[in-house]
Amino acid sequence: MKKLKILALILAATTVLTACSSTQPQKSEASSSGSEVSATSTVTKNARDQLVVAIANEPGSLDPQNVGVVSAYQVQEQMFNTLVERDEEGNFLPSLAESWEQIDDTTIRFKLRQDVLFHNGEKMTAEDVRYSIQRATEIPLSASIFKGFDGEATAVVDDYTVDVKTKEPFAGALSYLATTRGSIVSKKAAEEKGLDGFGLEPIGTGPFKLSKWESGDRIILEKFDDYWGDKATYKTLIARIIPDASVRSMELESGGVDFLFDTNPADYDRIKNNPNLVTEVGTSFTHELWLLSMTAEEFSDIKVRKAMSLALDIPAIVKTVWGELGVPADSVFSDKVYGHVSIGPIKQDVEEAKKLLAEAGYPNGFSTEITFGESAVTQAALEIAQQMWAAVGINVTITPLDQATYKDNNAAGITRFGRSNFTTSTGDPDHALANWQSGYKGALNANDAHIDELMAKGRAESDDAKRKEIYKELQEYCWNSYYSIPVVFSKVSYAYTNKITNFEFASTQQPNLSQIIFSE
Amino acid sequence: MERVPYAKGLLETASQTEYNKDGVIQRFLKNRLAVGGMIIMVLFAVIAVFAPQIAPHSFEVQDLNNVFAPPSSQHWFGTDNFGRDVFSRVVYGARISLIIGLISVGIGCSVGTIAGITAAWWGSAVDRVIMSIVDIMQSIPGLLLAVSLSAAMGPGLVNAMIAVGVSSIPIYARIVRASVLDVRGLDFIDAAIVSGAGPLRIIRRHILPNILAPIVIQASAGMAGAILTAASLSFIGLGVQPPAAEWGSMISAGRAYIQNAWWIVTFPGMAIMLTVCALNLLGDGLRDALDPKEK
Repeated sequence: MKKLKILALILAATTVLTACSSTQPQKSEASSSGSEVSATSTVTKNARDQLVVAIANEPGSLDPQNVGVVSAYQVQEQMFNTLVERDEEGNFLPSLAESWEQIDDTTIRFKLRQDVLFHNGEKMTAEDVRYSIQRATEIPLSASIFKGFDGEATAVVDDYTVDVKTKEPFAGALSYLATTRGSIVSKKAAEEKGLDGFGLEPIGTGPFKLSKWESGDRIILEKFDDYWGDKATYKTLIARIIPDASVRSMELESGGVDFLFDTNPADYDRIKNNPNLVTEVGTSFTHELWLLSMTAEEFSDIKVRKAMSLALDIPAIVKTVWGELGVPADSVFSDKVYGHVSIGPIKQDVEEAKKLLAEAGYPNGFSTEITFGESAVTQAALEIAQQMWAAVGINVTITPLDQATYKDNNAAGITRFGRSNFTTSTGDPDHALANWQSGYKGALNANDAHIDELMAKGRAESDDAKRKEIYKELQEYCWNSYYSIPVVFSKVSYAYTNKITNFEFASTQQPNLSQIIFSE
Repeated sequence: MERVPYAKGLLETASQTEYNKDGVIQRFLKNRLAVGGMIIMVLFAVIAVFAPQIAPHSFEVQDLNNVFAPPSSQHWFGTDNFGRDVFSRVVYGARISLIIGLISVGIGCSVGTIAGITAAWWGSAVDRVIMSIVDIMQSIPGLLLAVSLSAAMGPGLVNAMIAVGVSSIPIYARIVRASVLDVRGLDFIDAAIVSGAGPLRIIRRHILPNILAPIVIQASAGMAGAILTAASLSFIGLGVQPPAAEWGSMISAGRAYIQNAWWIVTFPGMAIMLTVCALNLLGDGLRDALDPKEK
């Protein structure tokens, strides 16, 4: 009997393995309808009344001023409005503010729309705007970004006019106000519910309102019927929380979700070639740098830092890991960000790297450890880099940590060698370089007075050409300091079912999904 | 189920003892599945020892121009996402898996045996304390205990072996304690005590040889469990770290590509399955051979 059982077990296992190996990606059969369906002509009639999207993380909060993860921004984009919006060309468009003017060096006066209702039915007034801006300068998670604004001095002029103040002349002010952190929240609701409560039941002015949050599984949004702008074209938006990138891909292929904010590079070719799916790829505001902390003594010598960079064949790493979904970094921030200049990418020079190490007193190399917030893509890139570093004698241990631990380590200043994957949602270089400033709680700890000085100059400069000149100098200085190893500018890569039309591409990775139309 | 008998054969007349020893080997050889398991394990052991000679390529050198190559005469098991030869990695993986299996079983077996003998021989308070600890350890599932230990000590080969080893201590402690209690009450132990032998000598000369059979059986089956647990640890990133070739971590890294490149996960998976199967068959065979009455 026992022998029979074992044999059966072996057979079963073999069958499972064989089945796995021969399974083709399943294709749904509804693709025959083709693309001649003209659903766009009748905006009122939508073939389906719900959209299912996948987000990568469960946010701890949906409070726009009290959260720091991309998944939260992607949901908030559907629920909140900002004073102004930034289009793909970088122009500012009216949103909650009808018009605005710079009345002096540090004051922008906004005239607000008078027909805006919050999800709780209250009217939005200048006081809500003032409160939201002040809130953004006070809550730590947004204060680091909104530090240029003066919350105390921001004042209500009349019910629908507000003066937003900045501490110093601030060229990028509008860009910051256009990010989700500049979202306008209901003062009444925020004060009643308190910080944690408001994070779970946020009240905004956007086309969707929060309906239900099933922890660990999904966030359900519902159409807000009294929305002031173009109302949502369907009833329900479901954001499913799916941490594993390859599982997200499979869910899209099997129809479990309709829309992905980013495509897993490993699955990109398959999704692109699937006739039932559409991919849209474009340049993003995201850059990935590996950061050498200036508090670690082994990196205090620029020769060592330069050797770390020269050892790597960045284009080969990017091609293998990101494929079509990334370009080798040629500066310290993405080419989509204002004032970007192309300097790199780093050119591999193994002999020079060895020479520099020997000169720096490490003829036999040295050992170090890189820590980072878990990411399969970064891990793959590091495993290739690990081999290249080993070839010049640098022995690098790769240690992925969970995001929270990594952030805690950064705050405590104990990360020696880390990683920054940063989306400059404002499109402003001052934002892109935030972690290069002295006092920033990150893995870089440059503490370089020259960088601080140039950043202050750039922030205050309002002349376009001069501002670009300052950021050119700053990028070159940062690049040549070798404080960081610029790796990749990853692309935005949306993927969705071909039943979706009228999707508006956004290079911020935070598209507005309220106007999507479903065809049959 | 009858527990006592391991020692009984040795207590009977000399001729009977001889007969039983021959019987063990004969009975084992008659069990074809067990012999098959043993042959596979010997094969894996040879592969592990001669990995550098057998593997056609290095297990860690990447070839970024040749990623995701399907199985071919050049790369028997294809190449992975970094262009590394999967066959060579599976071969080197045998090394790591067998080392983990042997050392963690060694840890669990030796600590467990000492704990079990101490508890059974000295009894009363010592017994209660040791067995309470064992009970507490056993109340946590083995894999969970290994995961917690690995998470606490940090990932790595050595820590993984310790974690897997420690999590298997309770089972050895229990088996050994029960066997020692059985043997302890027998006449030849009393004879040894009466003739003035100290406890250490009695344990070494009279008890250990008589409880070896259950330990060997548990160790051979336990090794399969240990290899599986270690692979699970590596799969969730707590075990052996890259670029080392370990079957569990190979499956973990390759699973993202399973739809495009099945060979990256399939071959290490088959290696794990074969090893674990073979060890279990071997363990079953040993038990049947050493303990015929249990059938």
